[in-house]
Amino acid sequence: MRLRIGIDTGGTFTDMVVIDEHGKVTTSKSLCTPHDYTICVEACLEIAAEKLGITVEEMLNQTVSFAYGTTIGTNAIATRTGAKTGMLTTSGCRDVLHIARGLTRWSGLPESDTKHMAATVKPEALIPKELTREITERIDSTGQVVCGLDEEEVKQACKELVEQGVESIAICFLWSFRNPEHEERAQEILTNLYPNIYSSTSHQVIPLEGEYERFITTVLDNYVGPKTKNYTTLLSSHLKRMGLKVSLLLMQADGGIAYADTVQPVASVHSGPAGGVLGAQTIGKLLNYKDIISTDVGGTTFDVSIITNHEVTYSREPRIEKFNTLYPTLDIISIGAGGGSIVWTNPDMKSLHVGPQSAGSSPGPACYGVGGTAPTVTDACMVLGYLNPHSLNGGRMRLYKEKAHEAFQEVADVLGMDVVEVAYGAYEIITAKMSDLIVGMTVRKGLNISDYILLAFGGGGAMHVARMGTMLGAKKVMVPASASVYSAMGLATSPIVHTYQKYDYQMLPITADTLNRNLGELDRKINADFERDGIPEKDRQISFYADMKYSLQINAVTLEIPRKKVYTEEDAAKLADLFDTAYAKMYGEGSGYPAAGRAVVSFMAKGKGEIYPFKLSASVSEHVDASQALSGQRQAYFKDTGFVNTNIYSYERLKSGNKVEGPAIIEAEDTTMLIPPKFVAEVDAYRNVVIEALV
Amino acid sequence: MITWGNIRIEKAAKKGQEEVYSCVQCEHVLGPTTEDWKKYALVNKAPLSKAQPLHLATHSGRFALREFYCPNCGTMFEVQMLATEEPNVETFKLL
Amino acid sequence: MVEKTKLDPITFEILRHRLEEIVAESYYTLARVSGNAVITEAGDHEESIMNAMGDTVMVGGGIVEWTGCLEDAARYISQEYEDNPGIHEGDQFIMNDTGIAAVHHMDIQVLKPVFWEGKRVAWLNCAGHMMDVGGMQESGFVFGATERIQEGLCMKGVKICEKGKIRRDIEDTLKYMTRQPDLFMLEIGARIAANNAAATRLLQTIEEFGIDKVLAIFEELPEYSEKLIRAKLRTLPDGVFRATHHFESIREDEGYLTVKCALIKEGDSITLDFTGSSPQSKGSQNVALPGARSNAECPFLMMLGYDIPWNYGLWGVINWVLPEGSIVNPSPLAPVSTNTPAGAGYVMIGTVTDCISQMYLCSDRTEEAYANGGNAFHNPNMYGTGKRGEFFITMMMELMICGGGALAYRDGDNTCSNLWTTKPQVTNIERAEEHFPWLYLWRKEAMDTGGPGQYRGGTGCTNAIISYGIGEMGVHDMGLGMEPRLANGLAGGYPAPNVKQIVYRGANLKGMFENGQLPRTPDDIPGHREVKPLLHSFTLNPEDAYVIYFGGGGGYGDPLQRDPEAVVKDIHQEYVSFEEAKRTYGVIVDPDTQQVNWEETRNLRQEMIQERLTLGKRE
Ligand SMILES: [Zn+2]
Repeated sequence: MRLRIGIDTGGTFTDMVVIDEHGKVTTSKSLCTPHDYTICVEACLEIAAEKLGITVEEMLNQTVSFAYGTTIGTNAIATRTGAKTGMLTTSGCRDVLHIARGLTRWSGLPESDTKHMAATVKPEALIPKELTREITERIDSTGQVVCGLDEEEVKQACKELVEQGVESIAICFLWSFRNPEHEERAQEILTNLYPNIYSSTSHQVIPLEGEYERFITTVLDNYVGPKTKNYTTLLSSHLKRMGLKVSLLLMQADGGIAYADTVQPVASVHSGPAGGVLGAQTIGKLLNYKDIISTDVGGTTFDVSIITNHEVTYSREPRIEKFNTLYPTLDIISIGAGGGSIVWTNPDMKSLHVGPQSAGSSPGPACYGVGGTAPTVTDACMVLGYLNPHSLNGGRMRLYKEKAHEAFQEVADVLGMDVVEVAYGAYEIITAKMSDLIVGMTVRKGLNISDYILLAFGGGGAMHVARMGTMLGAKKVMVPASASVYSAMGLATSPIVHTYQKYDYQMLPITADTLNRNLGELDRKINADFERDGIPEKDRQISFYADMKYSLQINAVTLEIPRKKVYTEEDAAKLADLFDTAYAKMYGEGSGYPAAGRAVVSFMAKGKGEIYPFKLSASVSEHVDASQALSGQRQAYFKDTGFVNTNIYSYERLKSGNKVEGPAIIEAEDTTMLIPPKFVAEVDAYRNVVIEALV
Repeated sequence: MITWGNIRIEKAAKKGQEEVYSCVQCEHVLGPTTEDWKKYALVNKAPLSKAQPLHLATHSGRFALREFYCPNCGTMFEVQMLATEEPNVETFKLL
Repeated sequence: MVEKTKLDPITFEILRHRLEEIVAESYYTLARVSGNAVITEAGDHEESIMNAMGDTVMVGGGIVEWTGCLEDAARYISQEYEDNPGIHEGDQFIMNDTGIAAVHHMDIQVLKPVFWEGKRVAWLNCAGHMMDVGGMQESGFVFGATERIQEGLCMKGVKICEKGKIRRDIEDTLKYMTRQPDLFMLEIGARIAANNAAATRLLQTIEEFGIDKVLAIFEELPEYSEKLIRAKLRTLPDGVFRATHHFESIREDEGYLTVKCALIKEGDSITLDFTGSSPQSKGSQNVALPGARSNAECPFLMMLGYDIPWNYGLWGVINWVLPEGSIVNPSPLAPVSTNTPAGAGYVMIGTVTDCISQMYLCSDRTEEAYANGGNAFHNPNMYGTGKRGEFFITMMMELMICGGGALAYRDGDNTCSNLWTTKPQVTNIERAEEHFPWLYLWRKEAMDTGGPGQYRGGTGCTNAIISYGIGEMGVHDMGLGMEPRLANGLAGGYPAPNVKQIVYRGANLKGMFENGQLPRTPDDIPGHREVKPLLHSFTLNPEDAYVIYFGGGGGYGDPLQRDPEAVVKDIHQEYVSFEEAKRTYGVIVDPDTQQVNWEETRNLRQEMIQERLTLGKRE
């Protein structure tokens, strides 16, 4: 039996999924052990092996792919406990990280927070000036050497930095992506002198224009590099000893996995959320939903990402904390709206607001009974009868309905409304905010929401998703089976992904030679990677892209270029039309300005390699009647009906093919699904719950 | 009790007493709040070349840094750049 | 009489959020479509929704200093052009008249009326800075102007779009009157697209909620804002708060100019009184009435209105005293093009910031006060033959990374302006070098540029470039604060130091480069040194170098009360020099150990206090 394993370390839990070659899925879960993550990984392995009725060694022996999502890098940045990092940079650029283009005070903050100038602070730079050394060297925008590299200065700088105790040195020169000569030579000098110092160069980490973003991405790589490398080496040897025969794969923020020793450490930062998107992509492929809006309602945030034609979307402005980076990262937009969002009122105005402040998990919603007194969205769902009044998480957590009521009473008194009216208002407001975000994201990309299926991950999403669907005009919404382990599922089912980019700013028309030279180079790099990975040619799927723009305009469009071995002049000539069409689709007719000329900014190649084809086992569809899963009734509140008697179903007892008509509530271990009146839910062959409006 | 930087406005404790400005650092009473506190402070007109003049390229003498400080402990209350001869600007006056 | 719809708090909140999103839609559309780095990279634009008569209901964040102007345009067109030429569905109007609705005429606004069932229900406005608007001088900043008519293009609400199409006659005229006709029309197209995007979402919202509810939010939202600001004002102390700022006149015969502001706060009313400001200038630094109000409203919005929806209900509470014939309310013929950033408009922002901070300092919310930052700056507008042989004109955006003012509890942010925009950002060196014919020698944080204080003002930056193209390059430098120190300190903090720009004629650095040398400080640059006055035009030849120091932020509190350890940290980070640590902060740092010499520091600080007491006089 060949097994695929995916393990994802989250904030609290480590989740694991094992899929066998028949598509049978086994899951396990354990509490994270931040002091040594190998412990929780081992715990997960043991539980899963036990469920499979084999030993850990037997399980690992049969494993053909072992993919892991780590938070080591993310945590190192969040707690500022990364490596002591030094930096070599071009003369005149010492303060690039300190100036940070002036934007780190507000970057990534919600609009409302940016307006409050007195409360925004520019964060400290990751590398102090004492650990930054300017090097005499200069290359211009065409790649010409203006001033040669002063090698003695490099030696001296390295020596001083090492004496100051740095563990890694980032090498960041201007225009290195045009001409990497100086960065390469400086790194060579460093490695010859100090082979144990971790070092990456900016052109190697991300060969794109924009020194602030390229430098900070490289510095982050050096900051998390030593820790990430040490840990994955440790875990690899650990797993090997336990019986794993294949190399460890790591999750990357671009939504792909790759062998740990080939992963650029910065790529593993923020890979966690990418796992969930991969999970959504997996479902899409399995069920043939090519267009998906994946949503996740957690305690404090609402995260959205979009999959179009089975392809994930990359962020145009990736960011790690307040640092704008350049590394390919999935586009996941987040706002402060979740189960813990606080419902509040301004007594003078008799107005009602929800969030963005959150009660988080401590003190938490009032109904958790752990000290929270402010009403939250979760409390609203409790008042409205959506949540089980006694317990959550399959009975592991007690809830207190009366505390939710009490919490809302004060707001209700101020507004002169009753508690239920206010709670439903809060539910509507937060759901409208979530919908507004999705509208903005789709409109700005020229997408049509009605083509998309809405997926709800996270503990809270399933209570909002049907209502959101109505607000958005989405035809179908779905709550995936065992939503909480979907990140791990995404890992277990993902192909290996290699992405390369090359900057080559050129005005159109370009020659066939430009296409062949650039794309050929990227193609060779990817194929070399797959060679090393042992992925046969037939299992490689390589796509080419070009980032193009109108010369006066700043925004680029990523255009897919059909892959060819050799491009002709005719192919090159077609680019202009392809680009015009794509631009108009994305930004609207007439928004481009072709008279000023079109330019290619950079090329990209993305390769996907299937390690081992997977499938999931589908259940045979049984009867429509869901009565075997009916566990009771309670009063729940809906917009047009007020409180009505509502059937409660147990997700565990529902079978594929079962249909549940709204109003109804389906309680699963980690989520609660709301089926409003005039909606129907159906359990599909993979136990996903699909909710549609009755026509 | 209201403070503005290193100046405190002390409300009258009893009827008939005056509301006064005092120094937060040394508690020295500056004077009644009926007048601008600047009347009670020491003032020094320093040239623009005081305090980090590295990039000062013109010295017309038109402007000066007007420093106001506590006559008792020397704590700086306020520094303003004004034309050398213009009257003081009453930065704040509570109504 | 038809009864007015009164929104329940839930619908109110949902619609309020929706309006925010609609404005954001417009903001993003302009940023995406625009080809002007000042917009795409520096965020120099702003969008708004107004009711049918032009009163603002919702404004987005951007360049806050124009917020107040956006409604003046829609009000004017509603009042003047209803019958002739008429306001119809599919129309859009272009406006940049400083006498009606613009801070300076480079800020081009395009307005779109929105119709529902044949009736006008709203206006949308999208405004952004344009790099050239014709007239006597590239960039639109006209140094030699003595009359407004010399300053270039002036559109008073001309119908540029009819039935959804750009009018050819207007397009041709605009193209003829500007130096970058292609870019100009692209920018107009971007504004039209932004308005259309916002209109689509507004109409969807009307469809979803009904016109009555949308009209109700248009009416209730300004009332809501007014109630909130009045409630906030009531919690702040009553008083009169004053600031006086002096700045250099572009006209040598005028010496310097003055803006004086008094903020009078009583109960829930607020008055901004600019009596005592200089009489109207003969040069271009006057600010016309709409721009004067709009500039003064900028700190009001950022410091008092940050948590209140931005609309006329909010700024409508301000009572104005702007004396006629003064620099802040000149005759309709007076030139105004440089009022922002190098004139009365911009300086008003600094004075109001000071006054509001003084008010906060007297309250229990001292954390809301901050000293001025970035009031002294250079803003070189560069033009000439571009890298690909084309005419180019652009701004060097380093004024965005002046220093921020200190707060009452912490240092100001280094290289991060806090005066006039909520989202400052500067272009990457590589982006600039890719598109424009110069080469950077450095862009650094500049030592000793933050105003001294117990909490130090943020450090400004310095940069140096050489011309790296095929010919000479022209510079029109906008700037303030070469002699007067403009970024005031607070409560004993010193104002930030001066700005300076130097051209090194015949530096011929290419020879140096070939010898493997790169200058790191101005001392390394050979050639004939020329300190250039600000508000001045000059050329850079290929063998010249150009060095600029941008301003920092003002300090807070007595520098002798600054924690000596903080001064040492500043020395290590090169924010403060050894000399100034001693001279200004009274801190002695041992050059060997790089640590505070506590005893000498204590003695020196005592001496400095003694010196104060000796020098000081009673008035
Ligand atoms: Zn004193």
